[in-house]
Amino acid sequence: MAKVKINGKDFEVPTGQNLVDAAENLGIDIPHYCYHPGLSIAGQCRMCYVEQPGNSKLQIACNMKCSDGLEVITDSPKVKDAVKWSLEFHLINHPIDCPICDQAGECGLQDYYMEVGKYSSEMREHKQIKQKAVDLGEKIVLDKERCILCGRCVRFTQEVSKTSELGIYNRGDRSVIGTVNDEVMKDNYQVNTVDICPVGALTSKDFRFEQRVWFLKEVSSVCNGCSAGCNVDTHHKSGKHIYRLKPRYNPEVNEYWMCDDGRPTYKTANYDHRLTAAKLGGVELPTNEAVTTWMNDLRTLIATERTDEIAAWIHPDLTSEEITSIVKTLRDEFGISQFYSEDADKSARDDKTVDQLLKRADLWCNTQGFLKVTSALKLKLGSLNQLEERLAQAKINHLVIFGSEKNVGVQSLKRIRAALPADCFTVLISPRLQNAELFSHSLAIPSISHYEKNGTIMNWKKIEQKLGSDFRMFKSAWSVEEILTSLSQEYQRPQKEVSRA
Amino acid sequence: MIKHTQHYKNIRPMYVDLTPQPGEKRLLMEHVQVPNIHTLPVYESKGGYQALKKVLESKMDRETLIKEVQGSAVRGRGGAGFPTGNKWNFVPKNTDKPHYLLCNADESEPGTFKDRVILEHLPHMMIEGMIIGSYAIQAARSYVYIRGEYTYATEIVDRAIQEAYKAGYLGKNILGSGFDHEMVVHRGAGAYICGEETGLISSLEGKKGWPKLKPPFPAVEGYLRCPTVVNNVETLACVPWIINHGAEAYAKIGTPKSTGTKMWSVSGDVTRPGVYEVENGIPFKDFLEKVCGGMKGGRKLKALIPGGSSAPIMTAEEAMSCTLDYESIASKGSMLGSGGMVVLDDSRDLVQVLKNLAEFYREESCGQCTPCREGTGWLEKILHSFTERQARREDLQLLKTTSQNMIGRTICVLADSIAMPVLSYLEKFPGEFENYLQGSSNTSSMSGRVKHNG
Amino acid sequence: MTALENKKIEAPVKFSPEAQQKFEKILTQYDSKRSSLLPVLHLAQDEFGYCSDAVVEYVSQIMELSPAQVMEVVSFYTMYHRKPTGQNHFAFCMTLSCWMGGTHQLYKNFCARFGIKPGEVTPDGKFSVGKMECLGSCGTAPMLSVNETYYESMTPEKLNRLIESCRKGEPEVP
Repeated sequence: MAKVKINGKDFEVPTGQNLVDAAENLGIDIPHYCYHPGLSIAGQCRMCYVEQPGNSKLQIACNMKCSDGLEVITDSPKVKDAVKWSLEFHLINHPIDCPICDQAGECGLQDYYMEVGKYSSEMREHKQIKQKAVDLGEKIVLDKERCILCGRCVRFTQEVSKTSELGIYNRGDRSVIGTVNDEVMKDNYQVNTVDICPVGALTSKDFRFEQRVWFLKEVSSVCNGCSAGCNVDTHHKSGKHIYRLKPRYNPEVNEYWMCDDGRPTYKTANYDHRLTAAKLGGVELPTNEAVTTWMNDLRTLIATERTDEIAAWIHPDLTSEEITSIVKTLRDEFGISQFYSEDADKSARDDKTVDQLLKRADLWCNTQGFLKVTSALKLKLGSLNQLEERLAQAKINHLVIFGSEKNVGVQSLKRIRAALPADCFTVLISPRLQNAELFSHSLAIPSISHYEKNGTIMNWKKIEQKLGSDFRMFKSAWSVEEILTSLSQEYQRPQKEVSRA
Repeated sequence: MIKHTQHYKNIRPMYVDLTPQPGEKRLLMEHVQVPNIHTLPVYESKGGYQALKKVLESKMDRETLIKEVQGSAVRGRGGAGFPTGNKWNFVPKNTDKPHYLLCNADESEPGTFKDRVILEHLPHMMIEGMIIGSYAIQAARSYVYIRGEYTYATEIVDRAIQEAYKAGYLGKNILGSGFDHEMVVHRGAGAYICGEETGLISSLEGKKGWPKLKPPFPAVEGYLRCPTVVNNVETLACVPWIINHGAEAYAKIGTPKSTGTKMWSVSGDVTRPGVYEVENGIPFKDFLEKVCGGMKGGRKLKALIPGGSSAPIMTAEEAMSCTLDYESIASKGSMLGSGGMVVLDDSRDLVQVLKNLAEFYREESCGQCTPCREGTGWLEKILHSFTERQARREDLQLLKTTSQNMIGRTICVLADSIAMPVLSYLEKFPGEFENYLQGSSNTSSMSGRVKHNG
Repeated sequence: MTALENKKIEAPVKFSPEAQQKFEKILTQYDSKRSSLLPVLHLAQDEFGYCSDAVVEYVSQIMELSPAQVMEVVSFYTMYHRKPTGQNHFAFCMTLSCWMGGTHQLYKNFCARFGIKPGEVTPDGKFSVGKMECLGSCGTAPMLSVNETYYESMTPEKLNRLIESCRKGEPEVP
């Protein structure tokens, strides 16, 4: 550890840590744009000035590493004035189109203006004109005028995604960021540049003009796109609609980034993809009544000791708690013995990196957790082929399907549907509307989507990560644990209280 | 485009007359008028490569060699004026990384054209100095970074290097010393910022000429993150004389802190613009009258830009009372810089001159850091308003505060190079700006500005 | 070069055998491949006339860099032309001593005479114009550069003579 002095106070910080990071951890904000802990040091924005006693020239904090005896001042009038002027320089050619800019509310220029600016600009000259709303492909829009040329996006494509698609062209105040001839960006990590862009120069097409950020709340979660388990923050408005995912820093899993394929995974949580009410044969009913209906059929089979005619289908996107709940309720409480699932062993075996970065071949997000829990609970699992066979032999009269909200599970569900005899009582528990439509004759109970879950999943490296949501989007969509608890309560209710056949 | 190489047979070097003028003291340019002095045999006949032989054949100890150069107190002739021997001494002695010596022949400072004389007439002197310097810092490779526009000079230097290879002054085991050295000419492509030390290194690495953050310093981590020394052409050309005649002899010439001679490139309103080599410390008055032939057309001196456009301007009184050395010029608030002297007579409108300079710096700013990128553009736009008679009185203060907030705030000193002159013009010639304010049609701060072709 | 031999270069342009030889020689002169980018671009511009998109693509492949990295360099330096220039590219020095010597007027007259601006070429393809910053010839101001050859101590008469000689296809020797 190194002993440093900041603004007259003594602190102990890790030796060699970047001064901007060290100060941030201590709650001291040193303004900066071009510095990013996941990228190389640029020293271009000239905002992170600090004063060193004995040195009349101001130094930049991002090029300083903490060592014993380092002494800096971040809040002297000289520093504040220098930062104010640096901000003025950033703004003299900035178009200031906050009213139409997505970044408003989380913009580096706005934030620092309120902190250290609040001056009347003296710029009376005509501003530099550059291209606006440049289409860089399916995911990103570039506004070259808003760009403050911090270079973060360029360094990202050079150092992290290693495609070097972006560059800074020309010299002086004619400099512009972009691709060669504004051609589309091709790599699968582009949208990270939107995250790291401090201003509204790079914006995500998916989020463009959708929502003002001051209405959004964040909860932490983990992406369910593949087995990488990149940490994310879910941005939602009042728990009713999710607008975007942003990566969250985790040094062991994904550092500061996530791939673009994981970004749209929140869409399956929103209204147009969701089963919002329980249905029986296409007719809506309240969820608790659906549970009762389910229990009625189940009870008959349990009472007549025909539990071997009951089967359940599960998948590796379920959290470890969900799987535990399923086993404890269906197997231990009700005596169901037939469990079938996707081939998690094969998924784990075939899993590998797809791009030498984050994305992996296994598109299930909790394969390792699934294997761990099923093995610990000694759950015997059959394959899809075996389930199809038994369905064809009409040996199953009651099938419980836990359906994933992702496309990756659809193939298996279609096969099950095809093999399903007409008189088999089917219960589908899934958040996904399309799944319910596939099993339109069955009982469909809406469950919550991945980004509303509280639970644990395990990534390919066997790191356990928590999903920590705090909102529910639809009253009628319950968690798997809640559905099974309700089922269990229904089972234990004395028979004479049962009012519905 | 018609290829230019067909011209090389017939075109000749810069037209300036290199006849020695009274008042000059020629150490470097002593033989510059000898026909074909740019070829090896003629250069050798005038004592060329004796210094190199002295160093290598005796396998001179590198510490001794560096101490000799330090003893001469020769300072960098490119503009910064940093003691060359000290720079060589900063290079770590025992590393496993290769070392590099880079010759800064990217002469782009407005008003400066003295390196061109060395490149076109005395390339072997520079090459000899480079080999000696490379030996001192243990560099196996050196590069002559020559500005791309100097196509003729590039050809001359290239031929000279080939001659040196043939004569065994370059290549393996030079003069039996065991020292191997390769020298390559590297053409720039048109960027003033590549004359800056770390900008040159970036450009040599095949990137844009963006200066690098210091620390780390080039002597420790420079080209390809290896120890690198960057020296100006004239500085390296001084080395053979120092070795031949000794550090003491060199230090006796000039003044104690500005030893030796300096090549000055004089342009503007003088009778004889050209390149002259004089002893440091001679009075400017004598230089102007004797060496440059006085003011053109008998006009009066109004202002002097002593060391290239980056040097703050001097009034006629200051110029006439100073001597041509680092200290004296610095005491008048300016700098000796590259020695690109531009003389301005009383017909010159200094606001127009300043605007022309601001255009230059705006064009040449690399755009890496914000205060310079935006500040150079802003200063140029404000000065454009002045020359269009659209300026407000507040713009005087605005020029001042903008410039003050650019100095010392950037990665390299290009921002200082425009900001300090702007401050000096405002301070020393306020009347020039007043003229434009009085004729200004812009009396209200809210009226529109003349459209500027940004 | 061996690594590149195995890699297929797909670009609309290609070096001639002489240029290819020069390219390979350039690579040997540097300790990193990327360092040779500026000389290689000079070579490519000499070979193909100007740095078109096709040339940038070709150079990026043979230099094993991304097109953006090559384009950054091409757009940064003034000597690499992104658009074709005329057979005679007149570049006027606009800074300080030359400006004091009157190049602005020479430049304006030239542009007015041919009706072109920087970046444009006359219909017969013979002339284009450019503005340059200090070319290092202040003692012989005013001056300009035609196809990288310096013409110093210019006067309107000398400039006219130069233009005529260029029009005839035999530019006069400075």
